[in-house]
Amino acid sequence: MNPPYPTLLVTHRGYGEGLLAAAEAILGTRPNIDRISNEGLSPDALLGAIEGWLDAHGSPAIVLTDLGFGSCAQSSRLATRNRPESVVMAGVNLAMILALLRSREHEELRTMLQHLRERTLQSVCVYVGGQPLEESHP
Amino acid sequence: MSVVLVRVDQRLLHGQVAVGWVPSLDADRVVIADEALAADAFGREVMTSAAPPELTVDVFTLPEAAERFAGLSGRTILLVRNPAALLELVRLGARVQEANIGGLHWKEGTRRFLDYMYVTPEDVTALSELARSGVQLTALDLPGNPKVDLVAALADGRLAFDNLSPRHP
Repeated sequence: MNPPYPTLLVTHRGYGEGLLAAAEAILGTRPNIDRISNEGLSPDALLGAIEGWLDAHGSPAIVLTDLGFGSCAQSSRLATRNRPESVVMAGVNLAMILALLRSREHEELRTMLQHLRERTLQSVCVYVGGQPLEESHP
Repeated sequence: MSVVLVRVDQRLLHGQVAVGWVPSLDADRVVIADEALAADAFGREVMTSAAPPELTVDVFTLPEAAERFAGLSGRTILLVRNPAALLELVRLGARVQEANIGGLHWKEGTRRFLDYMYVTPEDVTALSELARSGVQLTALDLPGNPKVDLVAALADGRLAFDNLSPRHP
């Protein structure tokens, strides 16, 4: 069965495959998420690949991408410019993937997106000498 | 001011430029000379909105960029999309002495010269004309990697389209 929000990872080089492999190692099953790497692709070729995926999967759909200022995010935004229910979310990491897999079956789209963003931001933790940054001594 | 880098990169302002070249050259400004982007407000917003905040980004048409070339302020990286655009910039009067070919990726009809440089016959023609105009052309994707002298490659035939492999990446 297709997930309610079909999801595509658009990343630099092998980052997307690495994220899916890591998620599989944690979950025990391969996440139902497609992926496209920008490796070796011209902007037009990457844009065409994303548009082709969006055409095949309908709307709403979610595109997760890595650097907000990179070619992957740019092509993803351009691909969704006339698709008001398609989503681009930059800054993907493993926490975002896991949160998405937990919530995309049962949450309304915008609620889920807010949840994903919060979980991803919360996943950034900094420790110095084993202590949280705010409690560590200079 | 000076233009610290003139670069041909299909992706224009993207990760390699923002994270690789900008800090390496201590650049504080990026000028994108591109007709399509200058005419596309949404595309311009996508390209410029997520740039690092310390970076000034301007998008000009090729004639606008050529007119401003000598007087650009800051430490500027100038980006164009393909060799034909660079040739047009030179023909319009920009005094480009050196240029870096940093990203021409695979598309239908291209042939491989380097992993990050796939060319069409039109690209090779434009590069040849640039070389004849005295522009020093090198291929280099990221600072620190080995440079490839394209003027020499054009002269000895390594960059002749018929000598290149049509293989897909």
